[in-house]
Amino acid sequence: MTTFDTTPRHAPDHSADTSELIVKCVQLTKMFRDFWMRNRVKAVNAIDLEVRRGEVFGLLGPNGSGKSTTIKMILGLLHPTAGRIAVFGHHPRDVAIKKQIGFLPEETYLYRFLNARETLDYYGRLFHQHRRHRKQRIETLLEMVGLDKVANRPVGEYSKGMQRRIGLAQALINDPQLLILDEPTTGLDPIGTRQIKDLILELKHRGKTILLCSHLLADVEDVCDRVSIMFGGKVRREGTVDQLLVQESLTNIQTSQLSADDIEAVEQLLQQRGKHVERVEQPRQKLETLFLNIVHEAQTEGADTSGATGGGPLAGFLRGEEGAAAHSGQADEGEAMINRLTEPAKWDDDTVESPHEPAGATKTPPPEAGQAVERDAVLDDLLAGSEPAPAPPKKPTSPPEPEPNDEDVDTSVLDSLLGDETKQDKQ
Amino acid sequence: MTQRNWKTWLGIFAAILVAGQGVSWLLWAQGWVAASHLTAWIAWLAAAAWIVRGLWLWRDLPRVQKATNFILGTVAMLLVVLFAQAMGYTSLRLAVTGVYWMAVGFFLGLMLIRALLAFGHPILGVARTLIDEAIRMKVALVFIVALVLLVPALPMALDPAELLKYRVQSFLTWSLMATGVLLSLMTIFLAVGTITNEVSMRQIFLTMTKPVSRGQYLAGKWLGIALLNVLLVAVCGGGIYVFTQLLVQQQAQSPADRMQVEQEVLAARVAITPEPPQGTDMSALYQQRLQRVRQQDPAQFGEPDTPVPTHIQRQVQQQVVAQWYTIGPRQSQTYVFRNVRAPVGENQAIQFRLKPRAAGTVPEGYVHLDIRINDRPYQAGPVRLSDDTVHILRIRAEAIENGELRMTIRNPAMNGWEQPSISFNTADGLQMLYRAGGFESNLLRSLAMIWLRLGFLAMLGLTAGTFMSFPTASLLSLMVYVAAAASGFLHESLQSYATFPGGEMSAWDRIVAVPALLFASLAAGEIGEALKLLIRLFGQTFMLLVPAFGEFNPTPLLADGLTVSWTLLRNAILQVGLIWTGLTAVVGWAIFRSRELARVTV
Repeated sequence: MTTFDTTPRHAPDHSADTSELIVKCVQLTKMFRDFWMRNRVKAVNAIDLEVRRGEVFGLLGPNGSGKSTTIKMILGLLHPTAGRIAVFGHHPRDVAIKKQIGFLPEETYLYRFLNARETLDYYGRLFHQHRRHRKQRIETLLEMVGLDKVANRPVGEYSKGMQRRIGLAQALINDPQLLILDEPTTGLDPIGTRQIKDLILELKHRGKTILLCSHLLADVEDVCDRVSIMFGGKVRREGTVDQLLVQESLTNIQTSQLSADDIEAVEQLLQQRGKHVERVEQPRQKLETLFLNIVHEAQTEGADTSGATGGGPLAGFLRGEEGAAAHSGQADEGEAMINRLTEPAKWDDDTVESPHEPAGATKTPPPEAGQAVERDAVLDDLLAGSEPAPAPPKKPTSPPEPEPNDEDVDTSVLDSLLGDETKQDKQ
Repeated sequence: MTQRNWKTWLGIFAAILVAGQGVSWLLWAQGWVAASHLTAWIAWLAAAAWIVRGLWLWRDLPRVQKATNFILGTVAMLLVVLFAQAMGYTSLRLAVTGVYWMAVGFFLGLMLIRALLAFGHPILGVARTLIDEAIRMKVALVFIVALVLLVPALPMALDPAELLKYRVQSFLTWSLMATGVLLSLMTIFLAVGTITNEVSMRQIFLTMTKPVSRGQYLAGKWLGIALLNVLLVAVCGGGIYVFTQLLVQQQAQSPADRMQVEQEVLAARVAITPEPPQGTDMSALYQQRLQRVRQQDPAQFGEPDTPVPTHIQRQVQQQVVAQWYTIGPRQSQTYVFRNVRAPVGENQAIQFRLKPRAAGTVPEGYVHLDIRINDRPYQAGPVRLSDDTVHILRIRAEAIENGELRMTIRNPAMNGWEQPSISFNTADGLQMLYRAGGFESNLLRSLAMIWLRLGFLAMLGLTAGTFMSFPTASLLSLMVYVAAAASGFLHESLQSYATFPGGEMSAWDRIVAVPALLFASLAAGEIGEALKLLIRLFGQTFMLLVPAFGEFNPTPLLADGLTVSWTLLRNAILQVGLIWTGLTAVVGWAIFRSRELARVTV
């Protein structure tokens, strides 16, 4: 297949309410002082940041560029030397706003003596969650991150990847409106990485705001709406991924495989219009896609593993309302699961409604049908195989398409270029 | 592993029991006694085997692991007890049983505390995790195991040839001291460790990004340690009580020994000392003595008719009181004990405790005293007492008149020789003791005081941990603990280490006057003196920051059968519990709330 793709890789998300700022930093500065209070290093230098409700915001930069420091200031773990921060319109050290925040630090700092269930139980208590409510959420989360089978082992014995998973679960225990992820995919295998990315996208579609801090550019590119690129404590560039990445001077066209004659015809046509083809190539699939396919096949064959189970439950969990029509009972279960997690905490001992959250913000904004179906197909294919004995899926488990939104491809240029002949070939 | 499997297991277990017992009864009814017994035994063995199978099947479940540990511990205890019984080691049997029950009590209490902390609240969540940390991270567990082993083992170390009274007193002293010291160390290390580790290992990042205020975090940590201490103090207190009772049942050296144990150790007695008469008599004595010492040694006490400095006043007053406690040859002195009450309990007498000391040698080491109580002779003729030894004379409660007992002690004229002056220590040389309550409530109040001290140490450790690393914070906390425990001794040592030339003065005067004194010493070339003054000043300033634990140490009182009064306990609650712990908490909170928990890493 030769694909000519002219659509933006990230369709604008209509669910993002760009009017409301969840995080706002103005002239934020953090100076590192020595014992004698002499200024040593400007870790963060007068940066301005705005994270809006419903968007995935990426903070990019090499090691030591100040992104972790910025995140720690937003979380109230460090105090700014100068400048202002408002999180949900409040001071970052205001305890009340913490009810709305989930945080996954760059390394998972857990109590080695607690097991996974106790760990989540501890963090649940901190949110005043009632015992029944807490237990229900914990089981759902453990299943989601694939640790339900090893939940009674102390987390000190967990591998790094498993610790990341439990770290992610604790970040989600309060169904946060703002999820702050510091290097979320560090230490995860490609399946886990993919799960995190799917989770981020899913949460975004459910109206959550995500602040992602990473130096793994591929991760950021896959999920972020807007990014800030930091270096030396300063923001060097900021904008939407499309704005920053689009190469205005080039156009890529993707179509099914063309013969030498077809290509020649295209070239001639373009020459008539004063353009010429710079490069014709067979696209390669991503290594990530290949890897996930191999793992998926192995799981379908029933190969055994002693590590964390894959993400079968995650797929069901993340599909939410959108996936219900396209999938079997497993999908309904996943939907029910995420709804249980996101429903208002009616059993909470001390429920505090966020004054900033518009009514029904936790409900999924209706996405465009095409997007939803596409995403569900990808997730389904990726994750359906991890159940020990999966029910025969209703959809064929074809290799996932990393490039989304075929339906949205504007094919008019292609049609005009190739005429009816190509269309007949397709048929 | 599934629920259905579990139900099947339970069903088969019940079936084994019912079938075994049923068949056994049937056989019994038929008169086949041996066969009935055999069947019952087989059924029990099968049931035990089935339990083992269940434990093995569900060994991954935490509850099953707990049950397995409990069963293994019980079996091990029974084996040791049977072995000790067979070999005739009674004390080993008692000690092992004690260790077992204290451990069982501890774990049951732990389950209760964990259940109490099950509600969804940040303070309770932090407290419960602290308790899990204490038990699972082994640091605290080492101290707990040491205590649970030590208390039951102590009676084994006592010499049975000793008087029973001393054995009981030794046991009470050592066991309470071990409880206090080990729990204090555990509390300090636990409090300092929990907070410094969480900061250095960064678990605090996760907790502090949840809706938990810094104050709630500290309160949760303190609550966890305080509850753990309630449990440990209660378990140790229970152990001490039971082993004291067992010890008392041992052979006494004599009936008098047994009576002493009951009346002078296992009692809560109030001690009353005579008050030196105030007013003209005493001031006349004071003036006389002042004149005399000034004439004898004007260099030290000052010229006659010059103003008397405070420290000279105090010194002469002390001499006058000591003189009042001294009875010269053929002289007598009356000591009035007020607010004496009839002792609580049957067959109880008021105890007159006295320790006479002769100023010279007395024949065979005995002194003789004529004693009259409320103008009636205690006995016909003088009482014969060993010199420099504590004696207790029993006085019937009826002798009290309007809450008063007037003891007139006379240094009698002896045939052919003169007995030297007899004196009594001003602090406890003459005491009237009456029983005000039982040992049990006294022990309870003592344990409460030990717990209050632990509560302060927990807050101290947490506060130190908020801004220091583990080694520094531990060191500081230990220093304060040692200084607090030995506060009385340290105060005295510092006073005698270096003397201010102008005598004792208030803290404020000292701060103002000391720089001048230092300069004066330096100018005079007395660098050593200046240094000593400086050290004393630093020491005393440090002691100002340390609560006087010494005043609230119940151990010597309890071992001496003296009452740990409600007043003392109330003062301890007020001073140690509220003021010192509260102040430390405020300091800790103020530091912690403004502290940056993360480090800037660039």
